[in-house]
Amino acid sequence: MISGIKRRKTFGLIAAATLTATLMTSTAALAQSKGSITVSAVSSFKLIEALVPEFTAETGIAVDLQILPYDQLRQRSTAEFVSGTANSDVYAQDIVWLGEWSKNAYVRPLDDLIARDITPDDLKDVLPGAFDAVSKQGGKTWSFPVTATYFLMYYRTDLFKQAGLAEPVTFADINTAAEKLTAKDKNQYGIDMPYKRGESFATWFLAAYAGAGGKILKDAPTDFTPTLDSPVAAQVLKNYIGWLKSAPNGAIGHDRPDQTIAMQTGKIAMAATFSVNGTEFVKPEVSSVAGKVGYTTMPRLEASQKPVYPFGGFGMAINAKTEKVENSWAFIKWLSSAKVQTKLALLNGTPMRYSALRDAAVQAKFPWMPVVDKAEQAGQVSPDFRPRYPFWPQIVEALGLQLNSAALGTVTPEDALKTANEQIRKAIVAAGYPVK
Amino acid sequence: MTIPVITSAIDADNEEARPRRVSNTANLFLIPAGVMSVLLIGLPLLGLLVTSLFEFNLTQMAMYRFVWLSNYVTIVQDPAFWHALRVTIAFVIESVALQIVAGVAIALLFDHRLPGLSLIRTLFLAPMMIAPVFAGMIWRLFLSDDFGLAKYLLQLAGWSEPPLWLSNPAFAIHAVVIIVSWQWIPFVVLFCLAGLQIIPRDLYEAAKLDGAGPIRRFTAITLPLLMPIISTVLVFRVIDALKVFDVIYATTGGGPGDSTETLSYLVYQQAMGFFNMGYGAALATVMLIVVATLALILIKFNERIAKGRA
Repeated sequence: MISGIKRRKTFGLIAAATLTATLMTSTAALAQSKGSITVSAVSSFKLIEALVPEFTAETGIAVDLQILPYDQLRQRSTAEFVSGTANSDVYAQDIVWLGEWSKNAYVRPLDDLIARDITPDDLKDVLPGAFDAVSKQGGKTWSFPVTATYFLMYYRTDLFKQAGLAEPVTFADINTAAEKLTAKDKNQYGIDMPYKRGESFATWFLAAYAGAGGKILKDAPTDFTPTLDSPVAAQVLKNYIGWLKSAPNGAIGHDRPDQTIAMQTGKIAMAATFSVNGTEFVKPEVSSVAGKVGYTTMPRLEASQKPVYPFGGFGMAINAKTEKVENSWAFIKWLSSAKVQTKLALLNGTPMRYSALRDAAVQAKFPWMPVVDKAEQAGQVSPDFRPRYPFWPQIVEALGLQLNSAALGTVTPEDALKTANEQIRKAIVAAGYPVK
Repeated sequence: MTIPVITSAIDADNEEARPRRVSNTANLFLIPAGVMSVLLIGLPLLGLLVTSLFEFNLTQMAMYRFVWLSNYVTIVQDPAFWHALRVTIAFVIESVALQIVAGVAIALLFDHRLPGLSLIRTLFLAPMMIAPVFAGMIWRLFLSDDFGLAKYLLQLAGWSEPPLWLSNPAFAIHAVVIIVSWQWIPFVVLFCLAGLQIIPRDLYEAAKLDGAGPIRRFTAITLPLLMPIISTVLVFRVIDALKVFDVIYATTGGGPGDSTETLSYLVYQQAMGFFNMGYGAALATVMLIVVATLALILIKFNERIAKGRA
């Protein structure tokens, strides 16, 4: 009986203590809590999920990170911007969306916040090419870059050495190497590129065109005349399509991931791609060719031409309608800080800061970082290989279809480019940009 | 039946007022359905029609102006529309024909009492339960030239270089037909099986006594009695096939070239790719008219079959 009373007392004390502790913890949590933000980003941002708790611990701001496929993010962001809602406070912004978002002021300019919080020295650490390309238009800064990726030509050093081939520099070098390194009986192919109708084919072709010295818009922002009917564009496309002979059998249906897998599995000897995909070739846990991959610039028509680094990347932008500007800005500052950028660089190899690019561990893992460093300093970054204007989807559609038709052989490369050029010209005019 | 009973209880002492009150009460019961129809069908439809009369692009907020029927004129002049219409019609004919023929054949097979057939019947329904976009992804992997099981099996069977099913314009649309049919043949089977099971067995026994063989029994008994079911299924499948999108999105993306670009894909491309809402809405309206017209024709056809049977 007495022991029963004691037990009840003990239980009561424990319950009271637990309740008090809970109340104290909750009060402390409430005191620390500085609200929450919603961040919408594309699939490649999934890797920041693991780092977000650090941000919450540091700032007390909870983050609802919503990861969406690329198309869905674009559709959702557009719907929210147009309807004037702020379901998401922060959006990942692809470089090609910059023109559309800035023209319509869908996102908030960040100049005042940058001037207030980012020191000039800290700003110097941000890659200038990446910053200008991803975030700046019309004299304002609409986002802050968080990832930077550069087109490079990746190749198998072991196969090149065995075949006595030097690092490829020109289109002719690529053609020779592709042919020489193709052994269909061994399931070994020279090269693979995206050939499927769609955005990848259009992007990869434009990167090759930029490598050859081409520029899709003659002189934007003063003259938006498309130049795809030029002899250089035709020459690049003929080379690009010619590589099909040295590509895996199903290459005509290949998209970006197929090319990445073909390289990772050792099926191909060369792949021109964004450095964010190149990181997948050198990670031993996912690539059978890790340690055997070299890199060089995009092929040129002549070796004497200056190399070009077609550039892509994502920034973080604040929804113009959100009231959580300070919390959103805190998140962007944190994600683009030198500390977090170095951590991210070790995961995905796409830093947007010199400090992360020059980190010894990052350079050891992704050896092309010094090349990117030099290109940024030399101003060889080419962000305009894809127009950063609202008519980009129309370019993708027209070019993606015509390039695919040319690769299928249903139209000649010249006719395909001529048709695409005319359709793009019409889209540019319809969007209200000057064409001379 | 229920309404007169209820109203007669309420208004038992007023015989003259009964018909009028019956009508009012009935109308009251119809209000929720009417409101729901207006909200869920009428308003979106009106929105679609109104949007189709504007030049309205979400990427250019300043661009929002009334253009009368200009979007419809553009459609008529747009070669992409006529191409997509041709692809859609070819797709509907091929896929629905395959689904109906294979569906009826498989239903006949399943209409027997064989060991293990009930388990097979259940498993057979599985494709119908998969989301079309996921079905497309499964088939894309299955038909992949790089690591697809289809190529491996065909090579084992001695076909060293099978075609690129989804990347060759000569095969792509047929591959999509196969995928969609794989998914929806079970639906046809399900309906036809139900239809077969209500056909009186004594008809077959009498025909057998009269010396009719299996083909004669099928053409003289099964097919005519199954026709109302088949024509109903036809309505569902044609409407669904006209709207095909998910599988194409997941497998070919409208390619290779423009060989699998259907009307739905074109609407998606304009509305969700280019955010060209005005033109997209006009295309969707035209598509709605095409689907509704065809559905009406098929429903009339269905009614004639039902009347003929009666």
